[in-house]
Amino acid sequence: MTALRGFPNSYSLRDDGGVDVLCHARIYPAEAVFSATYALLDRSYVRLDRDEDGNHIVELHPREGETLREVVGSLTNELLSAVCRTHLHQRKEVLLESVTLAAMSGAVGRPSLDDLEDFDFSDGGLDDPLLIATSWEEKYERSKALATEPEPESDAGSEPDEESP
Amino acid sequence: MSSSISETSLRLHGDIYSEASVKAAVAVFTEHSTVRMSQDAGYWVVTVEDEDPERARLVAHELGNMALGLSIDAGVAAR
Amino acid sequence: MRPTKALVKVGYGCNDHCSFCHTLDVRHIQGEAVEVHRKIRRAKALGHSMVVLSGGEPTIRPELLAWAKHAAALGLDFGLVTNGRMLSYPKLVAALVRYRLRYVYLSLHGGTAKIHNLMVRSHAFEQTFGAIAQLSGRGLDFSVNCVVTKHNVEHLEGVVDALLPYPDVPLKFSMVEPKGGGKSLFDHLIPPVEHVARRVAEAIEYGESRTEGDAPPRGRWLSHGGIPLCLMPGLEDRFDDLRTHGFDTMTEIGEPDFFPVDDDNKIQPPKCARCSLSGACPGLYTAYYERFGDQELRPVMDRPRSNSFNYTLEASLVDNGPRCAVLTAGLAPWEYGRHLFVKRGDVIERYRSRTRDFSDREISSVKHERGQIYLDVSSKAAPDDFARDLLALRRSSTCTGCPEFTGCTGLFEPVDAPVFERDDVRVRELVGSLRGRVLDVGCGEGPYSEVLASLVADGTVDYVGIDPHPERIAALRERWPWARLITTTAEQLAARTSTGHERRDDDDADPPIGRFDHVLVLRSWNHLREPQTLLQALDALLVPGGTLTLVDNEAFGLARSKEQSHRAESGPAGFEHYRNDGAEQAEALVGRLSLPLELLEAEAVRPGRSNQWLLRYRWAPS
Repeated sequence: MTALRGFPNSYSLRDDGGVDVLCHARIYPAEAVFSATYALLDRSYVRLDRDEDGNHIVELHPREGETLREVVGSLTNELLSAVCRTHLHQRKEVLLESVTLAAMSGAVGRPSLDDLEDFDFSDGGLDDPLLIATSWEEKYERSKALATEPEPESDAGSEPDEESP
Repeated sequence: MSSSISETSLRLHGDIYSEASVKAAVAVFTEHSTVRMSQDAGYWVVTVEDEDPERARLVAHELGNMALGLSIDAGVAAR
Repeated sequence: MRPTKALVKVGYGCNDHCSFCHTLDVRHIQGEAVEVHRKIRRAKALGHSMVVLSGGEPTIRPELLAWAKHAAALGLDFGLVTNGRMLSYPKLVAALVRYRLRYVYLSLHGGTAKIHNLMVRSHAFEQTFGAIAQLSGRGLDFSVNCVVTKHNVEHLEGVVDALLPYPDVPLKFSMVEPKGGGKSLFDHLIPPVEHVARRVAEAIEYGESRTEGDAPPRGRWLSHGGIPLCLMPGLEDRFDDLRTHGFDTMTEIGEPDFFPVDDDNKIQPPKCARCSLSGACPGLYTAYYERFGDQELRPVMDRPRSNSFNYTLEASLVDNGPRCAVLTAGLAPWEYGRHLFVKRGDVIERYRSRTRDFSDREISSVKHERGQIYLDVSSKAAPDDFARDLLALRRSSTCTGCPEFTGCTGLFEPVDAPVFERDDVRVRELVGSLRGRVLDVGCGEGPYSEVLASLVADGTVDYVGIDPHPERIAALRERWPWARLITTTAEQLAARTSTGHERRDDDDADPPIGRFDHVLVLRSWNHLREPQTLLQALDALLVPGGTLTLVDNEAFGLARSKEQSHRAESGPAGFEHYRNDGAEQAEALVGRLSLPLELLEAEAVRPGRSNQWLLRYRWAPS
């Protein structure tokens, strides 16, 4: 078996045209492997195996109309997503527990997702040094006032001229 | 005149693929090709026979997918 | 698993100002953050696997990451319909991907700054194009949409060129919709759809040629939307819309719930009624049709189409009664035709049809007006014994008197009524009553064998059967040695009889075919490519006073498990029907031809009956 170009060594090309992906158990818990492979069933043929160390091996063959690299890329993405989701889930559990503790002190039951909606999920806004996230109206009203930046083309019927960006 | 039969085997890990899932998948694809199921050293061994090698390969692939999907579904449901 | 997407509009403000902006009149409206949070939760409750934010421009909202984070916390994937400008920030893309960003539908309307900026009336190209570089190569379901107006219709290959360096980015060309800015600037913006179709087809061909031989293969990376399929010959399967992207429901700002994605802004004019492509075809935008009519359309009549579709099981709910489970779930998200709730004991099963072989209108008609939906209780890929394999589904008595009856997708229950046997009794009677010479058009399946065999045996009937399939004729010859069977189509037979050039069949030693006392077209009417050709040849086929009997089946829907649907849809069966006429359409065609046919009997399909209809005429020349 040979390595798959552009992918880590844990990705090996099979003689039958498929690929084997070794998922180390330390990185990818079984739950993540199951979740990721499940998501690929409609685009590829998948066989799961497990070695003596508990690592999973995902054997992939693309379905007709799919390419090997695309489905392998998708598997990689799904694996990362599944791991990320597991971590998020763990963090959510912590959040739930902390809210539950607060709620219990008020002698009420475990909070619902409605209660969580009021929880502050915000990340403190977007980092936007170029001020891209400014509505068109706001930007060009301001531009007109400052006369520093012309409106690019407001007449939809006219053709762009050479000066247009 | 007899035509040659192609055979494709699938080895499915017994801790990953539940017996019920493999049996259900075998039952479905028996309509399409000759499918047999046996056990070997902790694996379910599924053999697909068909006159058309491409068809045998395809049935084996689809059967494997169905067995995996059902096994994961069952695991999720159990949790 | 295929993701099911819910589209959430977060407001209509935008940092671009496209000349064709759909929401021109409401750009000042921005939704409350909490409304979007509520809808993310509702999307989860409805069983969607992804929530996709759109606008306006969703990425200019400061709550963007909070919404993405909320969706991820609920286990949902996240997507964006966007102009992409904010996604030129690598940090933002990285954060969104962490919160399960999986889908991006990005607008790029020109391959150069000059064209794109003209279209969006902003200095946006560099940022939008920069976003493509950020998003490509991440394994996202990422595609680029190019809206085609008069301004860029001659420059589509430039967009193709711009995307050549990104092998994982598909490109779609969309006909501009005359809505919002597109409507108020109609004459400036809206090109003839036939011209758009030509230029889009050229751009697709160009793109394919530029990427031919790419390794790995780029696949079918170019598609189109909003263009009638008859104008895209050879590229019909490149059609792309919200449904092909997996969107099931959507909600605008201020709407209380999600509603099904639909094609209500488009129309298939009456001219399209018998077109083989009408199932998936978007038709014309209604405002376009009102201005230009249908003269550009070229309905396709000579391609076979499906006569059945599947409803696939999506979910099972426990029926807690007495309140209706459909009402409890909320009426809004369920499609009138494509969703199907079936009550089976204490469980209510929810099915959905995703077929593109039939339009929404056709599916609604099959389900509600004709009552032709069935529960598949067989284990076959295709049921072949309807009486045993299928249980008819009828509107549940729970719905009786409900004020929502007409607008609701409805609750259905299986009934063990022998509709197929009952409706076939009349046909069997008619066949048994035949006397004299009988021509059976499309005899291949060989039905009513025992009735016909005894009539031929005692000399009551002289039987001639025709069928276009030689293998069916050969098989039938084994079973029916008493019959004269000819391999030919009805149209060929009609052509040679009506022109007076009837000749002996090359493969058949029988004498010329002559005239008949009865012509039967039993379940083959919809298999005829040109039924009018057969009807116009009747004066050469029928003796005065002879009868013409037409029997056929309308389209029907089958409620099936995922496995049943999967097996059926991956099976080898091809389409054999050229249309799905009911008795009304067949009768209308007979009427249009002004033939001396006197109607003796008519039985149309309706709820409570099977999907089989019957028409019987007498040939009565003056």
